[in-house]
Amino acid sequence: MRRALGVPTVGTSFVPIALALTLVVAGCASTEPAPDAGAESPTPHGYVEGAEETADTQYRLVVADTTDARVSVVDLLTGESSSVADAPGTTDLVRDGRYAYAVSATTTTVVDSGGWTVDHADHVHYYRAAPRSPGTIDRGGRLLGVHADATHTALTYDRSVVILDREEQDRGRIVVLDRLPRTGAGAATVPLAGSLLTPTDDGIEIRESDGARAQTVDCRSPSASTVARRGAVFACADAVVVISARGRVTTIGLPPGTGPVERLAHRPGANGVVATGPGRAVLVDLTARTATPLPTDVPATAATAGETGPIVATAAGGVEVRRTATSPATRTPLPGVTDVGTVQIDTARTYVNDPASNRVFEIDHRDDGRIARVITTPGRASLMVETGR
Amino acid sequence: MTRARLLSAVVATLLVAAGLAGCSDRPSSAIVVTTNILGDITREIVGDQAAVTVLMPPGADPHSFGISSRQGAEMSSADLVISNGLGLEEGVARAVDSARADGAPVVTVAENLDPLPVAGSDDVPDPHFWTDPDRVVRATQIIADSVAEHVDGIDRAELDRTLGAYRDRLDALTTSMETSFARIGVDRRKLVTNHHVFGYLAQRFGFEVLGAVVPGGTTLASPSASDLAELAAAVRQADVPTIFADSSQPDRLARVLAEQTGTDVAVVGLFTESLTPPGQGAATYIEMMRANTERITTGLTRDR
Repeated sequence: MRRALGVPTVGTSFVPIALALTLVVAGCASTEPAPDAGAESPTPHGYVEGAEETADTQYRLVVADTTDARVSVVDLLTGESSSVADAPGTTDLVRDGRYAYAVSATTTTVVDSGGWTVDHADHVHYYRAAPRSPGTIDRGGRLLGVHADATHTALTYDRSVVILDREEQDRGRIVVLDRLPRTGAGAATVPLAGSLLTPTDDGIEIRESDGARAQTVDCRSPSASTVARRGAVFACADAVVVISARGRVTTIGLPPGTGPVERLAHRPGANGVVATGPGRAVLVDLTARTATPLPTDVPATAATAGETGPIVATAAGGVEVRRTATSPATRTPLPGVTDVGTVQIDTARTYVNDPASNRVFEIDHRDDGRIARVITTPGRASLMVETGR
Repeated sequence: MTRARLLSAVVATLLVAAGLAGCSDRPSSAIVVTTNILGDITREIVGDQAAVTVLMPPGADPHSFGISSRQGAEMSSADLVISNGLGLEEGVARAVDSARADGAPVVTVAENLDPLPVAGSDDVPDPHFWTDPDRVVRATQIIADSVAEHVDGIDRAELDRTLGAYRDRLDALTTSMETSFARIGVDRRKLVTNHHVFGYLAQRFGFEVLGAVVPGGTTLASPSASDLAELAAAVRQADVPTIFADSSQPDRLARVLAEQTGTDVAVVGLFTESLTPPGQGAATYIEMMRANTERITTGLTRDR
């Protein structure tokens, strides 16, 4: 629902002042206004070329079959699916909201799922377009994460970070702006409000878009990153650090024994994350600044829908759903599944793939883990991510 | 992220607007109107006596549409800027402030129409006054007086003639709405809706608005009772045959409501905050209001 609550839009900006001043000078110096001066100006954001604005979030699944190279997109509203790319040798699939990235040893195939959300803080817009593959990037190996803001997409590999022009990407063209060398632990670089937040062994470097380093935020051995509503989230040796778009830093200590966090998983847009390390899984509430261990064996994957839950974790042959970090778990066996794939969670539903077949289970995590739908994918559901938000 | 970009756009717009206002080689637009609903009303009043530029495109969201730097400059050099106000046009609020600072006369229509509070609040004024055609009649007077005062070369007698002709059509609209709604039984004058603009219409024509969260998207594929509980309760309480909802799958929503809760309701969307391009049902204010009236009356008099 698009509802305005009259909250003023405030954000941080870096380049715009200089840009605006340039425009002022240019505008007054010319005696004849350029005929298409308006075209260079910001496009009214209620309109996106080739896309349709809709009433609902356009949730989609991108599924990669590692046995036959096929990458397909499932529209979760209609249940329809389509094959959009061939990505031979795919070993991992990573998402950034609208796009999925299928990575092989040498290449990354970009898939536009065709569903996305534009968030204006007090109201949101949902868009849908036909899924497609805008192209590939000649870089492969281990892809630690992909994050984007309105201007940049950052793909973090083992030894380098590839920066794409996000506006060109949204127009269907892959334009590599920069390739940066990379050091440091497992966390990926996060573009945020025009800055680049880059993890190093010593902390998180915040660089302005002109390359100048603004500051370094304390974070020992950053090992994982994600983006929540409050800002970029980094897992450090003994804490989780949140860096907001306005540069505010919040540190939330992790309970002893968590170990180096391997994954931060949550619903995009939520202010809670599940931090999973070798020792335990911990629900981190970014608003209340609390970290609560989950009373369970360390799951392969776990994610939270909100600040306090519900939390869905993989278990042998199925999933476990908890309303909060401390509530008892409801177990949902997934028929015919031995090794559960990933857990992808949104506001209303959770998706779990069976990597050994072409089935994805839709779980209603607010209704005792009921299996709402079993979705048949065009190929084997080896790897899966949810997009749209 | 996107917010920062939006802000930078606004900053750029403002500075360009400020810069260009001092340039004498720009043609002046007589009247610049922010929303397309007010734009249509203003054009009807002004006729061909002055150029009217409308900033909000058909089918856009008034809360979020933005403008180009050229449009910002045009606003600053206008004889008169007409805006809705009360926080409706957030995307251009700063540009409107900038135009005012540059000396352009700005009239904010909704503020002068005894605004009602938004649902659930005592003191937040509701900007969506146009769902009450009586307030639109009052708005036409405010607009005509402002045009006569600020726009050069206006023939007041001719303006009063076009104003009078449009008012006759608005009066006919009000009468037709009253006649249409009179067909709805008093106990059925309830709008179960996730639209948030019908407070003024409800007050003017004696409806009750029951706000509801409408399940959408993936929850409709295989909904649980809990997904539908709130809406089903509102439907049962109101006991109406139709709900008015912004939904991408209205037929599917009606079907699952029937299956899951035994409630037989139709799901109908209404035009709310924007006119449409021609031929899509709400190209003018009057066409929009007639279309909504027809949908509400048909929906609430439907047999179950």
